[in-house]
Amino acid sequence: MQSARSLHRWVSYGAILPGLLLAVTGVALSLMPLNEAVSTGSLTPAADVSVADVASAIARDVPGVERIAKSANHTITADFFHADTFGSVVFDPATGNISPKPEPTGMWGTLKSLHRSLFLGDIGRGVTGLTALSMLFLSVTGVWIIVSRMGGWRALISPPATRGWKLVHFQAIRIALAGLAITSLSGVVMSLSSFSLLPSTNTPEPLFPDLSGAQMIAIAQMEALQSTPLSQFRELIFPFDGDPTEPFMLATNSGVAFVDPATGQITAFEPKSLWGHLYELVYLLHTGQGAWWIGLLMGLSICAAPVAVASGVALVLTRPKSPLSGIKIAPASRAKDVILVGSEGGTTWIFAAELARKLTEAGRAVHVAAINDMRENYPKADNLFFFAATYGQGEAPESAHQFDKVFAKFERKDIAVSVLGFGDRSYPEFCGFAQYISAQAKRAGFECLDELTLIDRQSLQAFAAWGAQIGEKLGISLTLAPRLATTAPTHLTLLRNTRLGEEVGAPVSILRFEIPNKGFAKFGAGDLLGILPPGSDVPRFYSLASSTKDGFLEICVRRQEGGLCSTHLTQLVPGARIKAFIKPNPQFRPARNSNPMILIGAGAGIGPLMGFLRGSKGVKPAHLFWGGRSEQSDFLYQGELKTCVETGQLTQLSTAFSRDQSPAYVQTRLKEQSSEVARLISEGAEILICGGVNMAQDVARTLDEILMPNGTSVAQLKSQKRYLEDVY
Amino acid sequence: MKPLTKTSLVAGALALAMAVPAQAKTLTVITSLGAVPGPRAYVAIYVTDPKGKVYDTIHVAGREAKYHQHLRGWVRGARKSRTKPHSVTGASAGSGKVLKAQFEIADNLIAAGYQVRVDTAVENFADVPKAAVLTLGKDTSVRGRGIVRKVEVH
Repeated sequence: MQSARSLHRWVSYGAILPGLLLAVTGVALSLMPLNEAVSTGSLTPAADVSVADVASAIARDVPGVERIAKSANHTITADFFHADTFGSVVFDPATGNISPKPEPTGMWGTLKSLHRSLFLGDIGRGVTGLTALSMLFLSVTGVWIIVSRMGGWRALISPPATRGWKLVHFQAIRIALAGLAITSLSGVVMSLSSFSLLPSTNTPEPLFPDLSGAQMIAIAQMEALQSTPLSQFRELIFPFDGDPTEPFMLATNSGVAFVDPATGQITAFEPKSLWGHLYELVYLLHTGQGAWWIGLLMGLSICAAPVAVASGVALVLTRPKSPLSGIKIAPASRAKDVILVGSEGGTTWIFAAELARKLTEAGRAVHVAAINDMRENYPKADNLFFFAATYGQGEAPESAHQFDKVFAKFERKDIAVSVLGFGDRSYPEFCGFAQYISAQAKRAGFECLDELTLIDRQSLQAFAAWGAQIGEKLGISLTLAPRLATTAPTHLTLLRNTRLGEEVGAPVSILRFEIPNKGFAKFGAGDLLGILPPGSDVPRFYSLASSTKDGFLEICVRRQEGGLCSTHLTQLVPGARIKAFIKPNPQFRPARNSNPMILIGAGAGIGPLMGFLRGSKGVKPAHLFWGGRSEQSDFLYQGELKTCVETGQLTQLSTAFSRDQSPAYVQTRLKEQSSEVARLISEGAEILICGGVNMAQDVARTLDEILMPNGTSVAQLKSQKRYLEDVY
Repeated sequence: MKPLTKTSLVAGALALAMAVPAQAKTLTVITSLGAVPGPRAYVAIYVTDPKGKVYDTIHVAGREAKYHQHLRGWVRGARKSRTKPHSVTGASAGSGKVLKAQFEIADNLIAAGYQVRVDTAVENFADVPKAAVLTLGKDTSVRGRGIVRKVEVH
């Protein structure tokens, strides 16, 4: 996801200028077919006459005619060679009028040549081809980003729930997408074709026929021309100068034919290839030549592309403030203290910024950089601080992937190193990467400013204590108090509100919020979202159904009778904002192994269970038992669950509805499948339960009955941390 | 050894002389263009049998292969002969251009009525197959059609 987004951003930087030029000239050119249709009168469809009618009328009035052609825009032109001069006229089939062919006005030609090749010949054609390819790439990745962020294809048509530049960017992209995708794909095909990298689209001439060589009959009598309606007609080439050894060549929508002038019959025919037909469609979609309204639609759609670019630039420029803003960072060459940060989500930067701010306030020159950007030397530095988060199983986080390389190149050993690790003690390999840095520093023979310190779950007390200790060593007073998103509520914007259960008296909403910025605390499914309802300082907590990796915040809220917060939340409309913060809840999450998990819940309790399912990515076999009131009304996540079953991410889905025809509860389903449940537990399965207290008690009783024959119990599973509850 | 060498040298020289068709001529074809409308013209100058089957391509003016299909008599004649039209190419030609080229042909083919043909094509204007047809051994100069003013062979 992250890499798709950064790839999207880098490609758009590269394509921005030529892309804008192509968009602007393309929009202007989109008016060309309409202009031509109006100026030649072909806006109205041609009268249904035959090629014989048209050709004989032209042959009568235009001496020396040697070619009649119908453009993609239905304009009929005739070329002639008479009295040693070439010339062209336009023929109106409705009136039979012949008028001089209008000079192609300079503007259209110039625009076309700019759009095709930037006036740079083959190099320019290459540039525009690559730009079209970039646009195609951006369209595809753009759709992918929208769909994965907003969670579904419906996001492409449902009203967006952002505001400001993001809203403008998003709306402009939605408008521009259709036009951009179509014109860039067709543009790529046309570019490849112009470089002869695709098979030729021309229909070759049929084999040259043997002609009778007899006297030519009147054009109006030629059957091949009589039987071809003007709507099918493309081109008719006359035997040059009445050459009796030459046939007529007739091109139609379906192919190329030779016509014997003596008999008026087709003597040879070459059908148009499938690729030729396809290419014509591509050409039509790209140019609008032949359907001026397609041109206009494309032009209108692409009008939004420059707006998308401008708002995209504005987005980049107004990206959320870095935690370092407002701190006077010293250059690497002058810094006394250097702080190097290895962060995945961005929280570690907030701690680093706090240390930098307080050290700077104490009059020291401080430099802060990502571990990847570590220099070979910091000539004036006394202290080197590593602030390191850990990713996955003790691996280096994003901004520290290059640690081994840059650390090996570092030249000075007479510098005091301090390593501070950030992590979560409930995970294996707690602060694994910080421990690795510390060990490497010791091995390389660095002096240690202090022993490795590990901060569990962003503990502000532990950080402050570490700061006091460092301050003592440096001979200054250091009071560190970073403001984290977890302690200060942040405004969250609602992306969508899926409301269910109204009919069965159990109104429940799935609420999805945008992750506000990079510095926002990382969270996992099962963590709690503390929400401050308007006019109250007391937060209400809701289990999260998503993690940072899903790219959004999601909770399920059941509307309680007279409940201040739940009533407020379930009535929110997309775009509304709430004040909220993350409260970690590491006690309630599946173990990091591949053992099966049995997820049991009722009503809105499905939230965190859904989140676990999303996070397991199929590594852990999952069995979900869930109870609602009516399949028709409050079946939360119905579509996504079915998809999970189809993909195998969910091994088994058992639902029970209490108000449907054969009322049932989750414990009913557990009993029905008792042998399977017992087997899973004997294989090391863990049980995660979320829902009301009564349901949890019923489920515990049922499971005890199921487990008794095996000599185990819920209490025993609890002691093994294999029976986790989140009950309200 | 010495006389033997001498003999074989003579034999070799004889064989070489035999390899060149004894009765062959090197001819020069001069194609004069008149006014070329619009952009430059593509021109094919080639030798055919009396029925139009291409025997040899003398010169093609215009380098973009994708436009060569508009030199229709030449493409057709080459297709008939089932030989690939080889591309003796030069730059496309403008107004008043005189294209000179040499070719070699056996006397018996001249006697058989082989022809020098010229095709022309100009973007947005007529493709002219057989803009000029000159029958060897009969004509030394013919008037052309379209943009070809005349064709001479010496």
